[in-house]
Amino acid sequence: MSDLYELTAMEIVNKTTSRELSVRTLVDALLERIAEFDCELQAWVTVDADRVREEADRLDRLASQGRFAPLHGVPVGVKDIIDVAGLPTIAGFEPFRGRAIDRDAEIIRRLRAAGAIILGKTHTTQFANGDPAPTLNPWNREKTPGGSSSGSGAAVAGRMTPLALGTQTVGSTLRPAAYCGVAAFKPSFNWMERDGVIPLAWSLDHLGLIARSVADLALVYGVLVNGRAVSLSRSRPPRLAYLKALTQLAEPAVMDHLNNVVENLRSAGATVEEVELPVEFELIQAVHFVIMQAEASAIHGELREEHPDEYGPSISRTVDIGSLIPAPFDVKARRLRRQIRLRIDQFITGYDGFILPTAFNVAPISRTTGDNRGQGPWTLLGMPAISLATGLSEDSLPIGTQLVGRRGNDADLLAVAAWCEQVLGTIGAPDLNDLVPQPEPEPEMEQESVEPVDKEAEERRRSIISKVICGGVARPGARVAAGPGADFVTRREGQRSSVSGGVSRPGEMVHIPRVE
Amino acid sequence: MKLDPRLSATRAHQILLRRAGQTFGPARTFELNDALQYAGEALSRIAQAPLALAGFPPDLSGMDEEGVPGGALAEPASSGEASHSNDEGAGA
Repeated sequence: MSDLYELTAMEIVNKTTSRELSVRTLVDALLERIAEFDCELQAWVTVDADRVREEADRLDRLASQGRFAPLHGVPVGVKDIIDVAGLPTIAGFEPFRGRAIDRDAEIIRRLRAAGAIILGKTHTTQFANGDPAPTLNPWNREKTPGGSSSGSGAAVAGRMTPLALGTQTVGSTLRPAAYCGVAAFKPSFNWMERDGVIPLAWSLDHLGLIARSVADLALVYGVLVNGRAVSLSRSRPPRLAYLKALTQLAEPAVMDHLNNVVENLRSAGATVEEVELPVEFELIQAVHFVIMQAEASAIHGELREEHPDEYGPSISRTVDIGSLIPAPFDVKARRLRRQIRLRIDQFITGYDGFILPTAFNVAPISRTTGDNRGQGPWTLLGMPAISLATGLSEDSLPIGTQLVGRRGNDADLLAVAAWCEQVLGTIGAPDLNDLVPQPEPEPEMEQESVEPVDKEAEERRRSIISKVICGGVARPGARVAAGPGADFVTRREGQRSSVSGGVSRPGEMVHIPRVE
Repeated sequence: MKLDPRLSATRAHQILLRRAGQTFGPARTFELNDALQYAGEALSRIAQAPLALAGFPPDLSGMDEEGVPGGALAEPASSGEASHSNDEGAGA
């Protein structure tokens, strides 16, 4: 069985519960892929390979007794602001690196109870705000993967896990999914208890799911809230409200794509009406901004005072701006939110959802986390939203289409999204080999080959996967050194060797994980 | 700063600049200038937005609504108000 990393969550459940696939075999394939590509991609903060394998073996033993769980063996990447017992929750904040976490967040508890495997923690921007994570966009290393759930989006797109958890206070789950070319779901506000999740703004924070298909999102969401997958069947094509005025804020490639998406949906039988929001878009943004700054400042003010040098510029700016907002403005903003929400609730009645671009641009350069304007309003109002990967730009960067549903109608929105996904299709996978910088040709280099892999070395390499970090990239011909027992991986040949140093081949880049 | 419907973005920005200078000093205020300008625009919009004083249910500030596990599926849409509302800062 090849390419196990391509399996979706739904396929994994089908194969593990039919005993066609052992969970151990699956996680070994994913750990292998992480070890091979994450030095470049930087999607993962922590992967506890030993524990993952132990858990996989436990699930396989259960399967041998005929005992299966609804997410039997589905691996999950967890955004590193969500607590997982036994792993640190660093949140991109160095003083938290050594913090011991002894209790799972509620969503993790439910995932484990449903048979999912926590594969590891994925990179986040600091405290899920705007200071970029080290993660690359798997489609183009110069571009942002989006944020703040940067590692979760990149890990799913990079086929390192079929499922990852994100959070969204403005657009932090849907935007990385759109920029990385995968699907994401931010259910209605408060769909899941958030204990064990580091907050950014209490009344805005949502947990979110990132996967490769609506079917996977519906499976996991349904199991988490109701013990079984959401039914995606619909009796009729959807009736959608196309927010064209907002779409015109998008860059031309995105706008053209959305117009094509709308035409394709109409051709397939959907009713798509062009409408304008009954509330000024800029007011919605202003209300969101004020509430978020005030709450984030209240949450982070004290800790920032203790660790001013460890706070990134974006979260520090948020803390400072929030501290300057007068209380009456904050209170009025919260009252306006309710006023706006009631109008939008009324407006969306009669439609199965809004449709608009997830982000108004394709992934920009990696100094930012991208444009959050298209996602923020629905987060402010607590409405469910889904991003589908529906196209690629001329530069081969993903474009996401967003569907927004009525508050509380999460299952209905999933069914609408499944209908749209069937019509629109999805994009393929990025080639992670493209992330590796291409070497400059350098003539007359020393010829010394890397030893091919042997089984003993391979086993040792696997045992240290959980402890390796990326040690860097050696230039062709450079002499490289690694710690005792460390391995290095040659990307272009796919060969590995367990040595403490060596010389790369001509024209070959060598990536050296080092042991912590 | 007063919640005055005539508050302009420029005026709000000026007030924020002054407060930032008093709070953080000139260097930090300079660093924050773009964000302060954006905040001034936001505060101006909020000041200018008409508010329906009694048109909808009362404020829940400070009331801590616990999360409702399974609410999104368990409750019909019409009763989704309480579990999916993030009004006035309430919520788990």
